[in-house]
Amino acid sequence: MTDRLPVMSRQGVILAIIMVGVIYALISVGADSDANPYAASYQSRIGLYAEKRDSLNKRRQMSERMFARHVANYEIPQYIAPRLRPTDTLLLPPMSYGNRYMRDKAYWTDPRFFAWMVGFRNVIPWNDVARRSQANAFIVLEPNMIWIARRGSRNVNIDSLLTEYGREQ
Amino acid sequence: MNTTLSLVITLLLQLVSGLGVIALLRPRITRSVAIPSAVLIGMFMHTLVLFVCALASVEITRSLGMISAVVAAVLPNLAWPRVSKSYGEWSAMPKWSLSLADIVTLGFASYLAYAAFWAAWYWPVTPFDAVVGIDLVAKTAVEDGTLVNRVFTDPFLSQHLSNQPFYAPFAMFMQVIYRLMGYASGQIWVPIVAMCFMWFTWVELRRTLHHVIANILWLLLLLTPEMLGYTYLVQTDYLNAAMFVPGVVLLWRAIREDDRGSMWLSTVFFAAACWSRTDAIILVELGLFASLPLVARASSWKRATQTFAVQSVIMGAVFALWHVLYFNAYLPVRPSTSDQLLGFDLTRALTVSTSLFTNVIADVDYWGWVFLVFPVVLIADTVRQRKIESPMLLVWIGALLVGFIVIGTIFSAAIVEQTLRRGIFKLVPLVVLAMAGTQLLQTASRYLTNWEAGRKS
Repeated sequence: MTDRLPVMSRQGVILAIIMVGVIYALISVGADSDANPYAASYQSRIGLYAEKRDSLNKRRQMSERMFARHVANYEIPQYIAPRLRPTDTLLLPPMSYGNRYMRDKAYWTDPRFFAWMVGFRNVIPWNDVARRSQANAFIVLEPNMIWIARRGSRNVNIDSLLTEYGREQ
Repeated sequence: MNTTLSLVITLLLQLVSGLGVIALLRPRITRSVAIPSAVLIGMFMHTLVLFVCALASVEITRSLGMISAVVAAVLPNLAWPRVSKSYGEWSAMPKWSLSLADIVTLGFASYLAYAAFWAAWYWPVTPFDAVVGIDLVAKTAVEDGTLVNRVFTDPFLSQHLSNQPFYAPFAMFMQVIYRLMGYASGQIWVPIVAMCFMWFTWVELRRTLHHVIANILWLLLLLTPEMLGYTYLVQTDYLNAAMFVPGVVLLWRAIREDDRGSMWLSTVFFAAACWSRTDAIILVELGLFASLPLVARASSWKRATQTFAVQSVIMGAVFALWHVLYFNAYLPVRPSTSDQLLGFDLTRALTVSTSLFTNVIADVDYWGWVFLVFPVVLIADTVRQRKIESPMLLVWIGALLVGFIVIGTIFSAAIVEQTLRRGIFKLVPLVVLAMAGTQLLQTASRYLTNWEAGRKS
């Protein structure tokens, strides 16, 4: 519409008030119910951050933000990487094994995700059947606990651990 | 150089690059359409130049990020006698025609833009597909100084790449450019793309409808639940929509206004769409083929088929740069695309169609009310007018739906609830623009304009 209408007119003000009402209705009315999908989505994608921006901005380190976003998928590779020895070839467990101990999906078991988090290491994913036998370091998960087991370790029977990995596959 | 300064300089260079391309093609578009289009086209040009440098084995460094932007800006402007006239028109004093309702809407949109910029700057890359694909390749390319980096050469990783690291490269190169500038997560370009795309659609809607109706439709588009999050999350889909939709709009304009310049600018946008998502070539070719009768009606069958052939060659060339030349001549590993190809199976096509419509398109939590309102408006308009307005957009909407079903049927990796769901990003703006073209809303616009001007209708 190319008609140039006066900016400040009675009709212009009424239409501007209508726009304010439309915006308010879209982002605020029915946010708690299923009636207005725009309000719920606005709240979770924009409104939530607006409310918490001050406290979120106190997290100055990228590592804090990484943890806030990726939680255990960030924490587990960060724990494992510095504990790997130069001679270690780590077997990443299947996602189903990781999922048993995490609230989120265990994306860290994907070698690409692991590389993105901590760089390129000698890791073999569980589904690499051909090379699985080359692994000499293994991840053990227990509720609120994680450690690296190596062949010959007293605490863990590796064959039992691998059987545990294979469960639910 | 400071990251913000790098960002400003790069953006300006991309703008100049895009303006140069537009000035070369000379479409009859206003400055308000040319500027957001230029930023988007400039990004495309910049990534193409960076790609050529990577092919020539030039090391990827911070300087290269800036030099490639300069080259991208200079190249289209080399034909200065041809392009200079457009710069003269663009530098004229702007004539603002904003209403109070526009100011309210744009104020709210600016807040959304701020929130998107903040989130893109604050959060690390989050979507799984981006972490294990686009950003993994970009991050390693910046670390290793080459595209043929450890993602593709590491013996422990190279056998387990799946298809994400091989995605069409537009978003990956944007991540490279922004990581080179010093942004820890790259991704600041995502809200810039969203802003330009939304600016483009706002101008288009404003051009067609009374400003209040245009602003309400635009808000429905802007706040589309599933799309809102991707204004700050790295993925290929929003970028793809931002290239695809202007392509369709400009093609429509080219036919209505017999404007060859718009036709070629739309081809550039379609080429950029093919550079941003692998499956786009199927969708663009289907759409162009389906719109052949409309193009022919506006000119002639001979001219329409010639144009179609040239457009197909350009898009095929852009597609082949990455998927044929780069994969075969440069990369030590190849994606297992052939393993994911299934033959066309009618039963599977039916399953995909049902799932697409019932689980994805009909879900108001993803798309809001747009897909509910559209058929109502369209049917009411057709019954009232006894003819279909803006058939071009409807043809493209149909072509997209057919394309999604074909893609979902023949590619095992194209999961309806994920891959095709985000493909709908292209459909929502087209549906909104198609609604804007209906006589029903045009009549309502005229009524409102008369009321606002104090005239009797």
